[in-house]
Amino acid sequence: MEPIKAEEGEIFDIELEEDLLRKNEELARRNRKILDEYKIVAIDIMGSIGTGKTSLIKNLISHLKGKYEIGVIAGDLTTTIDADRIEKEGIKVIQVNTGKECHLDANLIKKALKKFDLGALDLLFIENVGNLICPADFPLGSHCRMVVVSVTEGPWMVRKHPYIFSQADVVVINKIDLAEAMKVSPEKLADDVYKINPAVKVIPANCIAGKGMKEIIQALSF
Amino acid sequence: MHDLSVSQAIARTILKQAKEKRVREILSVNLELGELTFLNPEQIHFWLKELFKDTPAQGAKIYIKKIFSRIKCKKCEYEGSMSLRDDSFFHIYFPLLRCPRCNSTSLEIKTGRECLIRRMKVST
Ligand SMILES: Nc1nc2c(ncn2[C@@H]2O[C@H](COP(=O)(O)OP(=O)(O)OP(=O)(O)O)[C@@H](O)[C@H]2O)c(=O)[nH]1
Ligand SMILES: [Mg+2]
Ligand SMILES: [Zn+2]
Repeated sequence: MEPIKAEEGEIFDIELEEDLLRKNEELARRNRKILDEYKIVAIDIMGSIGTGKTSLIKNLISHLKGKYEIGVIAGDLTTTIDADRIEKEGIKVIQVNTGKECHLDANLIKKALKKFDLGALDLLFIENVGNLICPADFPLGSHCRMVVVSVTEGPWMVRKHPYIFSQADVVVINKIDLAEAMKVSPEKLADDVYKINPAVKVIPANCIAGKGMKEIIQALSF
Repeated sequence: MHDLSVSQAIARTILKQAKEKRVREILSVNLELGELTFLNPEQIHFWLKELFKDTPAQGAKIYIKKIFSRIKCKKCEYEGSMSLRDDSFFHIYFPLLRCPRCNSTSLEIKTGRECLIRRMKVST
């Protein structure tokens, strides 16, 4: 029998319907389900390079240690410097090096979660890669998204990056001890944030002196 | 910022499909990008052209459709477009995260976050 052959040069459509960001969102939802099953509250901490994300996590840990079992996922392009700093607090840290990638994604968090004894955890801090743009496209499955800005980035930081603030639940304005020297008003920065996202909580802080930590813990409301 | 890595993921998905379906040539690719993502259609177009070089998609036409945002209010059930504020304060049209009807901030984003490979036209 003569087999039927496809005609040379046949043209047709292939429907893919594949959404790459939605894939991440689905993975994020799955992470959230795992966290909820183990009754773990996860907090994603975003912000530009050097705004004080690690200092804030260290401060929060020293206030919460003993009351809660805490874990940390530290995202960085390279090195384990931040992870080592937090480990000094006697906390389990999983370091995720993203290489060239500008953000953590839900798949990396899924892998990191496997390295914790989830049954023993109450609280999970996730330090995202220092970047005010990309993490906004990649939810991780956390219960709360916190953005840390500081007065040393100048008075226009918030206005220039409205999107990440529109996704935040809590915004920390850090390094208020340097506000005068920098001629930057923390109140004005807060006003900018409220203009973009009226539902957010904004808290001024100084992570060297430990100022604002109680208010931040209250705002996180876990 | 992550246009390259997203483009790489798009190209990988497309070329894998083409291989599975034993496609000789990819003639066109239809993508949809939401306006609330940080993906820039021009950059995605540029990177895909680069990534398609020396592949069956080398000559493919790339169509990128912009998807406008739509929200649903969890309070008053309003469903529709977001209010855009043309404010010199932000220098861009910035979507306001409030319900235009009842002013609530409790919103669900229905569309605008897409990064979709809709379909491709191929020849065997
Ligand atoms: N003056 C002052 N310095 C601070 C404050 N908080 C953090 N710093 C300093 O800012 C620098 C950067 O702090 P980190 O906590 O490493 O910032 P980060 O956001 O984790 O940095 P990356 O992870 O590298 O993006 C350090 O030298 C901190 O001591 C603050 O409230 N006031
Ligand atoms: Mg850090
Ligand atoms: Zn409404």
